[in-house]
Amino acid sequence: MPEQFDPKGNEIRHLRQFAQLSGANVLEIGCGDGRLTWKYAAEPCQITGLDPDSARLAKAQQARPPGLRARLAFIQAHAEAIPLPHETFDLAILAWSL
Amino acid sequence: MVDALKEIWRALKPAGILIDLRPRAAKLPLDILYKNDVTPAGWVDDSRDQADDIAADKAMAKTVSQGYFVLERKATFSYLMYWDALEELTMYVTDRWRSAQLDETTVDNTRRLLVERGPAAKLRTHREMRIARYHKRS
Repeated sequence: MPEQFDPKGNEIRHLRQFAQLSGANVLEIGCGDGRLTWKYAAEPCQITGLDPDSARLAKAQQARPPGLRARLAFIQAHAEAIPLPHETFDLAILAWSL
Repeated sequence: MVDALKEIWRALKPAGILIDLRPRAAKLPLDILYKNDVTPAGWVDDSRDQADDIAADKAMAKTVSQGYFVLERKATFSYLMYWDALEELTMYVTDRWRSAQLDETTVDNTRRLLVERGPAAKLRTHREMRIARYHKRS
């Protein structure tokens, strides 16, 4: 393997300890290519990934497993102007993005 | 940043949770691992974004003081990164880790140590990660 990051899974373990992912409607801000998204994508009922970078979002779209299409959406936007209604999400994750 | 946090506050349901997960901008030790030995080779300098890091802390603190969010708990943890070859690290820094820099001394040391240790040697650095949990104050 040419590169290996966080092999002990500290990041996802801490995220699970800090957030109730199961059944949640999640907004991930700065989802990029979906690096973090894929680690928890099986748990929430709905995920919206937000990122201003269209190239990275395109990678995320391409990598999105078919089984997740109905409950995983990616939107190109800045966090300063989230194009979504008020009071939509149970959980917001700033993914290396603040 | 404060505007983004207020927008997130708007999009969260009452009592919704905000997780702030991010690495600390810093100079990170770069080590060569070979068998049970760990040899320092230099630094991956990821300190260029320290000002942004401090600004993010201030923005978060401001939204707490203004009554948008309440801090529940926070922690730090290690995020280890491994490469098999110097070229893989330099390519990663160039293409995907643009806030980081490798100085010439580190590159030279790393190259020399990898030659000395042989193909089984690996490179490792670690980022200090911070995670904090807030709830929305309605």
